[in-house]
Order: sequence, then structure tokens, then C-alpha cells
Amino acid sequence: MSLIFVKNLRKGFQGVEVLTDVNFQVDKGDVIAVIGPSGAGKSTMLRCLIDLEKVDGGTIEVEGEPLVKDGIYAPPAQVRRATGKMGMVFQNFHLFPHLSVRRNLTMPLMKVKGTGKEQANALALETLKKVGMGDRIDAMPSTLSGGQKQRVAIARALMLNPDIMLFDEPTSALDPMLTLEVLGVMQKLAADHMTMLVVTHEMSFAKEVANRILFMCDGTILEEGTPEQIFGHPKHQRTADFLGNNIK
Amino acid sequence: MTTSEILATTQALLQGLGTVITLFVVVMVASLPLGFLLTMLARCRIAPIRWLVNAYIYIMRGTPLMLQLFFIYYGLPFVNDFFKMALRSAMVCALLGFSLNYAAYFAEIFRGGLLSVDKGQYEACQVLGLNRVQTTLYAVLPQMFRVALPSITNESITLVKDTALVFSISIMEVLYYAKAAVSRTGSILPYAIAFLIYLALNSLLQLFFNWLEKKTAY
Amino acid sequence: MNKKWLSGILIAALAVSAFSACGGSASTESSSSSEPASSSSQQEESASQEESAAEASSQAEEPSALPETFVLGLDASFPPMGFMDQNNNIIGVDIDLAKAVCEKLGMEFEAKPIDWDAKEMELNSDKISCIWNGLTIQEGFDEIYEMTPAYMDNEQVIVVMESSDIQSKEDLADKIVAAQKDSSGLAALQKDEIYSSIQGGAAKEYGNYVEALTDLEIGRCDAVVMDSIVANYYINANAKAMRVLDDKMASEQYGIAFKKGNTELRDAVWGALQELEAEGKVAEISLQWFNKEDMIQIG
Repeated sequence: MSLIFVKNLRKGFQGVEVLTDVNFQVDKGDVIAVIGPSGAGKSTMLRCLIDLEKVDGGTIEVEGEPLVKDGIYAPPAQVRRATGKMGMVFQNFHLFPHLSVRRNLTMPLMKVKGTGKEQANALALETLKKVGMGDRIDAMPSTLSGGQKQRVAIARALMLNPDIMLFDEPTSALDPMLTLEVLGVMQKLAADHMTMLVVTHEMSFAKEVANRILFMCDGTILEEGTPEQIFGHPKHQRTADFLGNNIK
Repeated sequence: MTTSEILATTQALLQGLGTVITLFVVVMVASLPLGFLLTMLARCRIAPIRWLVNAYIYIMRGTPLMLQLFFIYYGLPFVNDFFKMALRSAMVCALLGFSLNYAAYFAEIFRGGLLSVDKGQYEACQVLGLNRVQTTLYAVLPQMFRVALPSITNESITLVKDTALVFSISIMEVLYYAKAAVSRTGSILPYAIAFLIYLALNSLLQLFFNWLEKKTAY
Repeated sequence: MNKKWLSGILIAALAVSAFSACGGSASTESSSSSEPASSSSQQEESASQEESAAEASSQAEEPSALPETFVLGLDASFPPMGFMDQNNNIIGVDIDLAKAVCEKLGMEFEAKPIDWDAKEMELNSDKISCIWNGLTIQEGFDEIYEMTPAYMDNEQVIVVMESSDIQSKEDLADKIVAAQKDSSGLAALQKDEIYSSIQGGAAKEYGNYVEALTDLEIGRCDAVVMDSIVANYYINANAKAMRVLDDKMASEQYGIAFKKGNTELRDAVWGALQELEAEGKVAEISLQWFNKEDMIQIG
């Protein structure tokens, strides 16, 4: 059984079709890079998976349970259960600016799962250490660099123990140096067998860390395969053009 | 005026301080939550509630507070016996009028604060599994409050000065005692004393809000 | 525009509620006066019950005639008629008179400072029993109040600085002349033939007379038209280098205003004042405040 199963996904904004027909699945342990030109619908697709956008048609199943089936949404409780299995990291971090790093991590856990304060604090420290931020647990977000913020955001998502992590261009707001530290954390997660779906422009990450690549173009997945296949022998001219431009 | 006269006049003016402080404290405590409630209701999914709240804010902000006080104090008691009993005391009318009026201003301030909260904050809350109430309480409210704080400071300083309006419904406060002292002594020095009293009050207020702003900075 | 429009509605609403109030109280007035009438007709029917009926009618009349507490509405910045002492106690000529009246009529006395601009509303909404504060009897007052006859004479006089070259009313031509807004001094000035020749063709208006007199001292105006009672008190009490011209603007009188329709209270108060005058109490109060026994004349 696949962790995520997507079929015939359609989505438009005010009459403009952003996703025309998206089909793919994510299996346990997969690290999937979603690449493609701007406006291809990569972020929209990711946001549909975690219910930040409503689809117009198609099916999304999470661990066998439908979130939306043939365009009809499951009851709210089931939708929450499905999305609860995923964690999400945004391009602009979206940390809570009024809370310390510690509270950023513990607040959702305590409020959503009712975890006790001590347990939440211990888990926060452990998780922060994983992303190399253990020493900044009492810092306020405004004092952190972009890379540090993104690492905290990853830790915050991990706190809720998701089965799948979604990354929406996690390094696009960062300069190259900071990008490296965030990619390092993601690479470590992959090594720990976290299932990940990453929308990215970082071709090196796609090439070296991902085990599969989805190339999206014009609202659909044009080509899918291992990094060797996509980078080495692209089937479509569009894929080749995109990669050619990007590698230059 | 001699020093002893100045002291006596100051003492006389300070008798109005209780009114000012009572008004200030009660109105702040009542109008801040009420204002927030209005802000929330103005975002309600039921359209008639939105219209009502917006009309309320529109009227309260669009008309002079003094006329509103007149309306409550002189007008409402004629509507029925309930109002006649409930609004017997001029102070009750003043507290009611000020709270209702300031709630409308605070509602607008909070609305501005809400607009300043990034859409991403709501999305972050959603993907973390926080429900609407939790999102409001733990993420939106604190950020909204921080943005609204300077405007709240501004309004509360205005409130202190606005309390002089209550004389229009026959409540004694600092400025009225100052007027009485001016006509008794034939000197306008009592106005200067009132000036200093208001300034001192607002200095304390300013200090408090400065401290609060520092404390809630992030 | 919207603000004006809305406050217009509010004012209209206020006015409507005030008018309905007048109507409502008038109807209760007439219904209460019909009660003793019906009881007196009963009296004629059965002579044997005369005593008890008389008792009943007197019981029915008394509470409607006089309130338990007599609330005197005043602008407490009008020495010596009604003002505040250093401890914010309200004192003055009118206060002493009213206290004596209350003692005579068995009412509790209360002085309530009000916003002078809102005095009609205060009276019509029964928040005060009367306006008694050196109130100049003016034309048309009988239509909005139940007025007593005059109890004191007052004059509208012209106050100038001691050193001023103004000696007579005629000298006011091309001078800046000031008065308190809405005052009878202003009204007298506007009626006077000199008004058209003063500087700017209009009086300079102030919130109260102290502000006007302060500007006189500063030199922002050349003369102030105001009540002689207050002017004399102010100049003497504060030893100001000012003088009152011999030329008067107008002569007028002070009266007491009651709510339209409430003749019972007015007549009771006036009756008590007449008794107090006969007892010499009024002369005593006059002497105390003016060093003259005959300043206050009841009737």
C-alpha cells in the first residue's frame, strides 16, 4: 500500500487550469523531488495534498484512506486524520514570531495531542538537536538566520511525528550558504528513512538525495523516473530543455 | 494666587481624579474585550451579523461621543421603565456610553491588527492540526495584540482626556472642578493645574504601555 | 457629510424622546389632578364620610406636589449666586435661599451641578427639580418653563480696565466688546443700538465670564458686558484694576425655572420664600452676601 495515492487530480483558479491531470503515488521511504518550471503547478499540487487548497476533481488517498475521492471530500474528521499524517515545511518558514523556538515546537504538540509540558520539552530538545539547533532552544525566531528558521520549522513539523514530510520549496528564500545547511538536514532525514515529497529547484538535491523525480509541466506530471533516468536520459524534449537551462 | 491657595485648589481638582480613574479602568476593561468580540463578529459567516456590527461601528465612530452620552442619559430613560431604573445613575450612563463608543474604535484597531497577521500563520496552524479556536488564541491573538498595541496606547490616552466630557451629563471631574475654581478665584491658574494633572496621568499611562510594548516585543 | 447626517438623526431622536417625555409627564400630571377631583365629588355624596375623605384627599395630594428630594440644578461657576468653595462644596445666595425653603417644606436639599447647555434636558427628564442659579428671566421663558416672579434685580453692565479711555456706552464704538456665550449680557448687547458700531460688528464670545475678563486684562478685548452682581463680586473679591461703567446695557431680573406643568412645586417654593421674607430670613441672607439687606425682594 502506498502512503500517498493521487489520481486524475484537477484544480483551477478562477477558470485557469493549474492542475490538469496529476497521477502519482508515494511509497514508504520514498524521497521524491518534484521539479519543473515555475507555474507548472508544483506547489499547488503539494498544497492540495495537505488540504490547504481544495481540488476540483480527482482522488487523493493517504495510507489507503481517501481525503477526496473523485472530487468529493471526506467528512472533516477524516480529512483531519489524513492530513495529520503529513508534516509541511513552507518556503517562508511561517514560524510563530511571538513564541520562542521551544514554544514553537511544544505549543502545537501540547494543544493538538495534549502532550504534557515536560515530555514536550524533552522531545523539543531532542528534535532540535536532530536539526542542529539544540543550543538555540530559547531564542526568539527574529534572532535566527533564514537557514536556522527553516531548520526550526522542520523540527516543528517533526514534533507531531508525521509519516510523510512535504517540503514546499524549502530553500528558495535562502542564500546558497544557508541552503546547504537546510539541505544537509533534509539529507539526514532521508537517511533516517523519512518519506519525503520535496518541491525544489535544487537540482543537486534532486540528483543526489531523491530516489525518484517527478517532472511537472503545464499542470501535469510529464515525466517520472529515477534521477539517472531523468537527468541521464530524459524522454521529453521539455524535460531536457528544463534541465539544460537549469544546469547552466 | 498664594501657595496655600494653589495647594487648596489642587486638592479640590484632585477630587475629580476618582471619576477619571474609575471611568478609565472600567471602560478599558469593558471595551477591549467588547471591541475584540465586535472584530470577530464582523468576520462572522452570517451576513446580517456582519452588517449589524459594521453599522454599529460606523455609527459609533461617526457621531460625537457627547451626543451619544446625551442619548443614553437623557433619551433612553424615556423608552421604558427598565432603562429608567437601570440608567438612574449618571456614572452608569457614562460608563456605558464610553465603553460602547470605545469598543467600536478598538474593534477597528483590532481589525487592522488582524489584517497584519500573515496568511502563512493560519496555514502553519492548519497543517500543525490546530483548530480554529486554538489558531485564534495561540497564534493570531498575540500577534494581533502586538500590532494593535501602539494604537491602543493612543486610544487610552485619548480616553483619559475624553473623560472631561462626562460633565455634559452632570458628573464632576477634574476639568469641571477647575472651571469652578476659575470662577471662584478669578484666576485661570486652576486650568494650569488641571493641565498638569492630566499630563501626569497620561505620563503614567505612557510609561506602562512602553513597558508593555517592550515586554511583548519579539 | 455623513457625520453631520448621522448626528442629525441622533439629535432628532433626542428631540423626539424629549418631546415624548413632555407629553408623557403632562398626561400623568393631568391624571393625578383628576384624582382629588373625583374624591371631592365623593365627599359631596356622603357627608358622613367627610373626615375620612378629606384625609384621603390630603394623602393623595401631598406626595404628588412635593418631591422628597429637591434637586437644584446650577452651573456651579456663578459666584455669588451658586459656586464651589475650596473644598468643592456648593455655596451661594441661591443655595442659602433654597436650603431655607427646603427646611420649610420638609424636603431634602441637593445641589446638582449641570452642564448649562443641557439645562432644559436635565429639567425635562426630571433629573433636577428646578433651575435656580441667577437665571435671568427672558422673553419666551413662560412657554418652556414654569417661572416664578422675580426675586432679584440685576443689570447688564460694561466692565473695562481701570486705565481704559472708555467712559460711556458711546465710547464702545470701534472697540472689541466681549460677552459670555448664550448669556443675557450678550443678548442685551445685541439689542443695543451701539452693537452695529462695535469693532467687527459682532461681540467676541467666551465660554465663561472669567475667560472674557482674563482677555480683558491681557488686552485682547476692550470691554466685557456681564451681570452686575457677578461683575461687582469678581472685581471686589479679586481686587482687579477694573471698573464698571455708569451706563447700563439693560435691567433685568432673576427668577427660578421649574418644569413646564409643575406649578405645584413652583407655587410651594414661592410661598415658602414669601414666608421667609416675612420672617426676615431673606434679608439676613442678603446682608450676608451683599452687605445690604434689600438686595433680594420676593415679589
